[in-house]
Order: sequence, then C-alpha cells, then structure tokens
Amino acid sequence: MLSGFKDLLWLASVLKDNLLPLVFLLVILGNVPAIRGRSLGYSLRVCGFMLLLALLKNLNIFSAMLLSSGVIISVSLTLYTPRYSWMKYSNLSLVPLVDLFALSILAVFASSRLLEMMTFWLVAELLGFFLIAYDYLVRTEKAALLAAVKYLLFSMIPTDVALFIILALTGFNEAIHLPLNEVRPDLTSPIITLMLLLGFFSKAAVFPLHFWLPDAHSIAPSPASALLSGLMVKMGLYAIYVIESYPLDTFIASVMMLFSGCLTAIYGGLQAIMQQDIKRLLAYSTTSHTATIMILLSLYIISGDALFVDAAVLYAVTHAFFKSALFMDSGFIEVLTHERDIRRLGYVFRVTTIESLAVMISVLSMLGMPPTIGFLAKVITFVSISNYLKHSWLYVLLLLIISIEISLSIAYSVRYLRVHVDSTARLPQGSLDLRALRMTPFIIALSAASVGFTFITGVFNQITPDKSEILLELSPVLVTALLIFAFLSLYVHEVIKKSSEGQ
Amino acid sequence: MIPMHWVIAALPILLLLPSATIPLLYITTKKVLIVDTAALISAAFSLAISFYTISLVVAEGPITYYFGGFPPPLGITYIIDEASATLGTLATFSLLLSIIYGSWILDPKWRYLYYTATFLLIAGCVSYLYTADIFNLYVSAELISISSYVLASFYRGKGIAIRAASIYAISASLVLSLLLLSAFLIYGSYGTLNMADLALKSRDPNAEVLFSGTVFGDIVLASKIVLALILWVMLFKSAIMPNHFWLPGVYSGAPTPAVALFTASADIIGIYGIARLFLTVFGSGIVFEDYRRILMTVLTFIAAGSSLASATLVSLQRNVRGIVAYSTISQFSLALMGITTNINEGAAGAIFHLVSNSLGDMLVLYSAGMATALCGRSLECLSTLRKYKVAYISLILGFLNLFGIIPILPGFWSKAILTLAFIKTEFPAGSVIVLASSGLCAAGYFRVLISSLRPGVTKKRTQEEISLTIPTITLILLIITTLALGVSLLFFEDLRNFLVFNVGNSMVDYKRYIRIVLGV
Repeated sequence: MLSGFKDLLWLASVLKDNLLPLVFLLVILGNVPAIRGRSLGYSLRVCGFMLLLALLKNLNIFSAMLLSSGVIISVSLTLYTPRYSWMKYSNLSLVPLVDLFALSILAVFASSRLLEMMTFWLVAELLGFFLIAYDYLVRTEKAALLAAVKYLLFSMIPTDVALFIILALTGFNEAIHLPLNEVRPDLTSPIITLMLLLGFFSKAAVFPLHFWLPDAHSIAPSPASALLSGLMVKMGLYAIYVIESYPLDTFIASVMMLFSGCLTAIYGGLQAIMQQDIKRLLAYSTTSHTATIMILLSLYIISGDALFVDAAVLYAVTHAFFKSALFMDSGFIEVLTHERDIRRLGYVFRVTTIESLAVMISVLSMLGMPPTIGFLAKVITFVSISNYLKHSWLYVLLLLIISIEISLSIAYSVRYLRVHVDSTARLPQGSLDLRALRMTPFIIALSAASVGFTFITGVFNQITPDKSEILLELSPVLVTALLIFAFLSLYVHEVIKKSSEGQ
Repeated sequence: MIPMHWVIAALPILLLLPSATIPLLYITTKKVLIVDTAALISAAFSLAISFYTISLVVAEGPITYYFGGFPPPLGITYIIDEASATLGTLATFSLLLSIIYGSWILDPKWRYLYYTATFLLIAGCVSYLYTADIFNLYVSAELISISSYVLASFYRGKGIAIRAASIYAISASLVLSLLLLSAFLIYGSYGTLNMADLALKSRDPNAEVLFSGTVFGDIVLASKIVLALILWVMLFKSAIMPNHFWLPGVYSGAPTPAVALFTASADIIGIYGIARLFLTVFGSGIVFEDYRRILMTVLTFIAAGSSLASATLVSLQRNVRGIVAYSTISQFSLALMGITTNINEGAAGAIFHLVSNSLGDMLVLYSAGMATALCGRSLECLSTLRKYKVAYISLILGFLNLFGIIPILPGFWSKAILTLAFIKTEFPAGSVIVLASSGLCAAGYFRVLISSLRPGVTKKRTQEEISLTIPTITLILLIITTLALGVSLLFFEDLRNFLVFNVGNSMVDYKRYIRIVLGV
C-alpha cells in the first residue's frame, strides 16, 4: 500500500518535471482530426491548458499572472475556435494552429531557462506568421500574405535579433542550464540596450516599430487576433521586464521607453478613434495600451519601486482579458453579420442581448470600473504614479498622458459599443447567420473572467515573493462593487431587452 | 606513421579511383545495376573514412600526411584539422546522398557519367580542403570546376543548362587562371608554395626554413596583389554578389542531385579558401596587416550587401531552384561576414553555417525534386508532396533549418554562433544583418511552404507508377542527420565546445598550423 503511494508520488514528480511535454501531448491529441470537433477532443485540450497552472509556483509575478490569465483565455479560445473555423472556413483546420500558438505563448511565460523561453518564443512567432497568412493559405487573399510578411520583417526579425544577442551575451551553456533570474548577461553597452529595446518594442508594437500591428491583427482570423493582441504583445513586455533585472544602460532604456511609450499611447488612441473597421479599432487600441504598460515598466527602471511592476502586470492582464474577449466578439459579429464596418452595424443587441451585455463588461474593464480587473489596474497605476508626484515633474506629465490615453479609450470604446447598441439601427433582412450564436457563451465566460479574476489576484501574493498589500486592502470595496455591479447588469439587461423587443 | 593515417590522407585518391573505374565498368558490362552498386559502395566507403578521420581528429588533433614521404615544404602536404575534417565529412556525406538520389532520378544510360563527375568533384573538393600547398589548391579548384561544368551541362538537350554551363565554364576558367597567377607570384617572391611556410614567412620574413630558405625580394607588394587576386577568385567560387551571376543559371539547369552536391562541395570552397588564406596563412600578425585589415573591412561590406540583396531576391523567385540559389548566396555571404570578424567564433560560425546551409538546401532540393518528378517544377506542384509525408516533412524541416530559428535544428546554432562572434567583436550590426537577411529569405521560404500547404491544386500529370523508395531513403537519412546534429548541439556541451573553440581555432590559430605542418 505504502509502496503504491510512493509510486504515485514518484509518478507525480515525473509528471511535474515533464509537464510541458505532457501539455503539448494532450493538446496535440485533442487535435487529432477524428476527435477535434468532439467533446473528447475539447476536454483533452482544456485539460492540457489547465495543467499549465501547475507551473505557476516557480514564476515571478509578471509571468505568473500572465500565465494564469493566458490559460483562461486559451481555454475559452479552444472552445470558441472550432465554431468560428467551421462557420467561416467550413473546416476545423484553424483549431490546431490556434491551440499550438496559444500553447507556445503560454510556454514562453512558463519557461524557466533562457533557451527554453527562446525556443517557445520563436515557435510562437512562426505559428503567428502562418495564422496571419491564414487567409492567403485558404482563400488566396494577397493582403493576408502582405500583412504576414510585414509582421515577419518588422516584428519577428527585430525580436529575434534581440533574443540572439541576449543568447550570445549569456553564453550557450548558461542559457541552457541556468534559470532566467540567475543569468547575468551584460547589456550595459548603449548600442546593445538600444537594439534589445527596439527588438522588444517591435513585439509589443510600440513606436517606431508599431506599424505592422494594425494590418496583422485585423487580417488574422479572430481567434488568432485575440491571441496576438491579448497575449503575444505581452511577450514583448515580459521580455522587457526580464531584461530590466539584468545590468543595462538604464538612462537610454528609460528615456526610450518613456518617449516611445508616450508617443504610441496617444497616437494609438487617436488612430483607434478614426477607424471604421472594428478589428482595426481594436488593433490600434492595443498599441495604445501596450505603450501605457511600457511607460509603467520604464518608471520601474527609474524608481525601482515594485509597485510599478504590479501596476504594469495588472494592466497587462486586464488588457489580455478584455482584448481577447473583444476580438472574439469581433469574430462573432463578422460571422453573424458578414460585416465589419462600424457604421453599418449597431443592431447586435437585438440579436443577442446577453452577449452585448458581456461586451459591455469587457469595455467597462477597459475603462477601469469596479469590480473588474481593470479597476485594480487603474487604481494601482494611479496610486503608484501619485506616490512619486512630488519627486519630479515627469510623473505629473505621465499622469497627464495616461489620463489622455484613458479618455481616448473612452471615446473609442463608445464607438465600439455602438456596434452592439445603437437604438437607431434596424435589423437587416435575412442576411444574419444565427448559427454564430453558438460562439457567444465563451465570449460571455471570458468577460465574466475579467470580473472574477479580480478576486483571485490576492492569491498571487502568496505565490510570488513581491507582495503588494494594496490588493488586500481593496477587497471590501471590491465585494461591495461586485454586488452593485451584478444588480446593475441585471437592470441594464432588462432595459436593453425591452428596447430590442420594442422593435 | 600509423598505416590508417595513410588511408585517410589518400581519401582523394580513393575517390578518384571509382571515377576512373565506373565508366570502364559500364562500357565492359553494360549493366546499370553493377555501376550503381559500385558507386554506392565507393561513396559509402569514403563517407566511412571521413567519419573515421573526424573521430581521429577529435581524439588526437590534426593529422598530416606527406605525399611521397617528402617533408614539407618540399612535397605536397595534407593537413586535416577540425575545420577541414568537418567540411570533408559534409562533402562525402553529400556525395553518398547525391549518388543514392541520382540512381533514382537520372537516365540509366548516362548515369555512369554522372557518377564519374561526382567522384571527381568530391575528390577535388576533399583535396582542396586538406591541402597545405597553394599550387595543389589551384589544381584541386580546377578539378572541382571541370567536374562541375560537366554536372551543370548534364542535361545536354536543355538550352538553359548549356547556356548556364558555358557562362560558368568560361568565366570560371578565366577567374581560376588568376589563382594560378597568384601561385606564380607567391612562388616568385616567397620561394615556397607550402601554406604553413607562407604563414611563417608572411609574419617573419627573415625566417629560414629547411629546403626553401628565406624569402627573395619584395613579399609585401607581391602579397598585396596576390591577396586581391585570390579574394576575387574566392568570391567568384562562392558566388558572393556581384560575382554571383553564374550561380542561378547553373542551379536551375543542373540535375537535382548535382545542385544538392554543389551546395555542399563545389560552392563552399570559396568561403573555406578565404577562411584558410585570410585567417590562417595570411591571418593576423602578418607584416602587411593594415592592408589585410582594409580588405577585411571591404569584405564585410560586400558580404553584408550581398547577403541582404540576395535575400531580397529570394522573396521574388518563382520556383524552388531560384529560391535555393539566392538563399545559398545569402547564406554564404553571412558565413563570409563571420570570417571577417577574425575570431574563433566567427570562423566556427562560418564553417558551421556552410554545413547547416547545405543540409537545409539538400532537404529542400531533394523533396522538391520528388515533386518535380511527380508533377512539375511550378510552385503549385509542391502540394503533391502532401501525400508523401517524408518528403513533406523534409521540405518543412529544410526551410525551417534555412530560416534557422528553432534550436533543435543546426541552422539555429550556426546563426547563434555567428551572432556570438559579432557581439564579441562589438559589431552588433552584424547580428542584425544575419537575422534581417534570414527574415527576407524567410518571406520567400514561407511563400513556398504556403503554396505547398494549400489544398486542392489539380495535378498536371501524376506518375503513380514511379517507385519513391530511393528518394524516401535519401530524405530519411537527411532528416535523421539534420535532427541528430541539431539535437546533439542542444544537449551536448562537448559538441558545442568542439564547434565553437576547436573548429574556429583550427582556422585562426596560425601558430599551431605552422607547428603541425613544418614542425617548427
């Protein structure tokens, strides 16, 4: 009996050491064509993604939070994609690509060694290329190939340069054997710092290498856009967070990050307001948000205050949740209405009120309303910057820029909401594909997750060494807010429903 | 001297033997099977010797062999060090694959000629890699060139092949005569042709060596002319832009196994020659160091420009041969950039980049050759490969290896070592060029991959009756080799160290070279 138990423990430890291969195996098995669309395939894939949560223990706060939010997003996407793929392309061949893409991104966050991280990073980029070019693959759309090549040249290659440089400076043996936080590549040369930052800027789509993003994210199939925008840009931010712990030219790094960050935050927001295509609007808003996170990370370099990292990571998680949900929603709208132009939409709430409500929750998270995770992100962002207001005028300026960024985000989220709720829009006659409604549960689930995740962020205090008590202090406020929020949602739902029935 | 060393050093001779006997065998017996078997056995035998050589070099260090027993600098000396043993193994490996594949794709009637030319080519190549004698270097280069003209014009009925082979033959003969001229100039000024002797005297003109004495006359002027001339020859042989004009034509006109052979033997000799002559023989420490430094700087710019320009052209190509041709130019230019760093890691990266590029090219060419045989040359035909999993995997693996960003493939490691060299020499722009040209090439690779992925292309003609066993075997061998090399690089520290330190060192450490050859 005891030996059996020991065997079991041994098995568990073996599994734990080889968790990533096991996860890949499960996800690939779940994608075997015969069971890809069946519940067995779904459950294998979901189990695979969930297993990744067992890796949380050894990660820092940045990767731990991104990994756990990434797992939630991937699970909803692995359920959402088969329906999307079937309705848009009449086959399921998009599913394995999206799953492996999600998995390799998550593996980047879960990696403990440099070479491991680099491998998954490069695989993720490669899969990203094929996902962006997917429409060229199946429908010979030249624009998709062009967007993919643009992504290859201006996002993949600069990042690869940065990664190869880090690998060279770390040394092959150290990169293979030592954990990420124990290696000490010397990045102090200004040129090296500059090149690394440019490389990771290109992944996070921050000026001057931001221009590939709107094309790539709007042309890719929606589940891929959700991953590209929700998780992949975070890889660039995560890499910047990682290199911040290595010796580097802090002056150049902080100046560059602040300058590019401020510029992109405003520029992306302004561009988003001007867009008529829902996916392009979301894509530009991504550059604006990642730039804001970049600003927070640069403040971490300047001040060394870990609160900025908390703010950045919460902001990143918030963005991951609402952007994935919104891109999934854009895919739903595309399949439902065969239309992506904001001006010709607006009747979606008449088709599915509850989905429109879910999108509203996501938008509220973007705006930072309690009790969404966005609220936490905004609170900590403002608290962390306000702590330093008396130190330098710089913080006042940044507070101003982030406020402008937020007001711009209000402007374009209102535009985005008009896609769903526009009381003047009438239902078009007969062109709606109502099978698309089968995709809505996962969008709703993901939106709900951006509320639910607020309440488990406290867990990360236990997992990770760097604690921020502010999360615990806020919990009574959050619970109260949740109640009010639930009540309000029900009320809004009733109102919208009534008005849609009135038509 | 141990008897086995004799066998190793006689590898070029052992390769010349089948090239003479195979035509005789065919003419006397008229049986293709016998010829195929003889070629296969000889190729396998030479590969086995190469493996033995490399294991010996790893275990004991460089091996030398004096032809006729004449001590250097009197006779011709062979020195087999880590770099030449590595490239020699690559050449014999590609010979074996080329012969297996050739026995499938080529017309049985003319196959014996193909075998003769390939053995001649590899004999020249191995001799070129091993030799420590400038004149022998020239002779080997001629041998390589003549057999490559034959291979390039193998399809005599095709206008494009004849035209390409003529351009190649005429220009290469002209260029190679410059190498001969350089050999004269060297002998006239240094009084020796032995490369170790030259290495010694270019650093210490007063050195006196038994039999060759001291230098006579002005070695500086002569060396300057020689270096410029040789550089031109080598750039031509490895088709670095703007000397690349012959390569795309040859690559599109020659038979698939011949092109695959070229990427691993005939075309790498330029890069190897530059490495050997500019790092070992006339490497750092020579009396006209400034001039050499200028040449290296110019070379860096040429290589960078060539790499980026040809990588841009890759994305514009309409067939696999064109893509392989321009991507090869681009990769060779990157290897050249590695050499211009002047350090261990740069030389090692360059040599290994040649290896990984050849493996990638062979994977792509052999799998695409199957599609050509089944359907045709256009990109759409590649989707025929979807039915043949091995060929399909090879195509994908080949392109991924050429792109070189997955650590289980050798392509990643060669690029990583090159980046390491650029970072060490504080030239980070070099790593940008390496990856930027990889990215530009990748745009071309991925377009091909996507067209092979695309379903539903109707086949022009499918010859289901063709047996695909032989090409499949070739590809399986290649896949195993490529993956084994990549995975062992990932897991075995010793192999990485051997590559980065020993291979690079064998090029850069001129003192060791002189010591081993001359015994000084």
